[in-house]
Amino acid sequence: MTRLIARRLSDSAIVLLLATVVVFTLLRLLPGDPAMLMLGEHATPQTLANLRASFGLDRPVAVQYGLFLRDAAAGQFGESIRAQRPALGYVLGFFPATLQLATTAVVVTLVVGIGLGVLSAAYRGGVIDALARGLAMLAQSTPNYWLGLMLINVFAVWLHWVPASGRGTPSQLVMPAITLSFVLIGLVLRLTRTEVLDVLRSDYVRTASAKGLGRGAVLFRHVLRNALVPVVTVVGLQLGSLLGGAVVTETVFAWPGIGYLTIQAVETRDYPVLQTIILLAVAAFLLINLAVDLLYAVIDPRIRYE
Amino acid sequence: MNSGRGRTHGATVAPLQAPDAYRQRSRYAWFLGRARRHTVGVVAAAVLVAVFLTAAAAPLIVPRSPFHQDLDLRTMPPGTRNGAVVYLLGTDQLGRDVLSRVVYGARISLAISVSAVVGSAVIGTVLGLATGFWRGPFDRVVMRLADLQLAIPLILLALLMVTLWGPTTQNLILTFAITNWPLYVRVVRSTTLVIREAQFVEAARALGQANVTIARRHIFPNVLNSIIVLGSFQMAQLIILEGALSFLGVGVRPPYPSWGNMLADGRGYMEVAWWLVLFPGLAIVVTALAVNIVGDTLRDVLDPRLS
Repeated sequence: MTRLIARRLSDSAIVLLLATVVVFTLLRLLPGDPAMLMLGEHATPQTLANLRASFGLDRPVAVQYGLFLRDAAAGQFGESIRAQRPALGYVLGFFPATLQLATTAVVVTLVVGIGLGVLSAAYRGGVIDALARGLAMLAQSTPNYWLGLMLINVFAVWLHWVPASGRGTPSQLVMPAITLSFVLIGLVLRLTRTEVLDVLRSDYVRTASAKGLGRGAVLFRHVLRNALVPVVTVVGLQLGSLLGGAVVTETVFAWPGIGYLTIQAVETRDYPVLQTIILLAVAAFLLINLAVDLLYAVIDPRIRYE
Repeated sequence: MNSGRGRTHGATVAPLQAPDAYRQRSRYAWFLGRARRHTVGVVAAAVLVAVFLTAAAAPLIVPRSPFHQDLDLRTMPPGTRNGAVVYLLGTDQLGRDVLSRVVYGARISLAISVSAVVGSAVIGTVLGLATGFWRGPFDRVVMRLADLQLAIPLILLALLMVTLWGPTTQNLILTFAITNWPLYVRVVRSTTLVIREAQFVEAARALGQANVTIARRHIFPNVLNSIIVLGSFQMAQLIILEGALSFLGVGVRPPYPSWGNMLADGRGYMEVAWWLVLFPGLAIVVTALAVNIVGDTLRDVLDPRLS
């Protein structure tokens, strides 16, 4: 167990380090003058000089990377060009909104996805199964930006049931949460269906049925518990795409979270903010997946890591 | 004796003469049998072919130039008539024909997604074969890079790269190829790990074949089906992703029509012109759905292990 934790930690550290290399390479080794590229052609010589100095652009590349790492380790990701304040604090200020949206979306995903997945497997080959699988296929083929626009069009513009955008009241959370969870619902539904069908074939389920346990009891007490382990991993691995989806969803609904900030940063070429967002996203992803992996060994005694 | 030997002779030669014709007929029959069992897949494939043909023939079939503006006919609803011209899907805020623009949008969307799929499949397959075959530190580095791809939200990386490099078609393709190869590496590598231990690989090695030859001739054919299946699913994702980037304003630049930038443009007119957001979006859904269903069918047929 200790060895497992050590290895997973070292792997995560390597991935994080690679992420810094990628971000550093993309942002610092641009053709031409990075300062000029970041600030645009109309930047004053003074701001250009400030940026060069703060990034250490006059130093050798290896030294620049070393400084970048040292600063990153200390939580210094530079100043937001737009907000004129430290990027990390600025980005973290947008975090609660995204956390709220993402949590709601994950809950919706798990409830609807697992629910429909189990139904689909339990009535395999039937109408419910066909409908559920069709929905899963549709979910994977529908762009979230378009789904968001159509929801706004129908429920805000035509029916006036919910506000079109913004954050504040619970009713404003409904459409963004649906939009963000739709793709994942398709994925979770398919996966749950496959896993449940797999478990239904196992010996212990046959035993449980043979000793006279009802269908519902078998499904919930024996099948679901075992089928959900892979589902949890995949949801963990989809965290990256959830954040990616948040970029689009938050833009469509003017939801003031990290995704909304990302697009603002892209539009204003606020690279310190962008690099902070990417590195934070990687760190969060690694941390959560590490936790998921380790939880497994605890939850399911059959899982052994070498 | 003679008849006995003759019989033996006949028995061994007959199957040797037959294979070509036999194999061809059975393949054809096999394909037809499969097709009959996958009606939905066949329909989806037909839709996909139609989309491709439409895109290829766009200049010949569109009713008007997708760039032609007619400011007297702004945001006209679908079915509007103007003399001999019918605007089947209406006009946009600059009086351009929405149908023509949707058709032209297919060109850019398919060109980018297909090129990027091919690019990332080639990179991923080569790296997957190499890492699975030779292992070692190179393998570890590549696999950590592949982990990184899962950890960085694709759209964030794509946004950053396209913003830095400029939103040209080539850069979009390059960005998608660079960010998507790990999908192939994982599948190709794991299959390679299994197959390199197979007896026919051992036999090839015993015969003195070079590693590169073994990888190309014995391992690659065994991963090809998985690559095709993976590629089809990835293509659907890239169609959606290209739309997302164009929607967010860092993809295909106006006035050139892409489904994503049409949605971005139409967004501001949603209350007065619903058709500006409905049709480009439907185009994406129909195309992505067709690709996904074809992918699903291919998986059932070619590579049941992947499900």
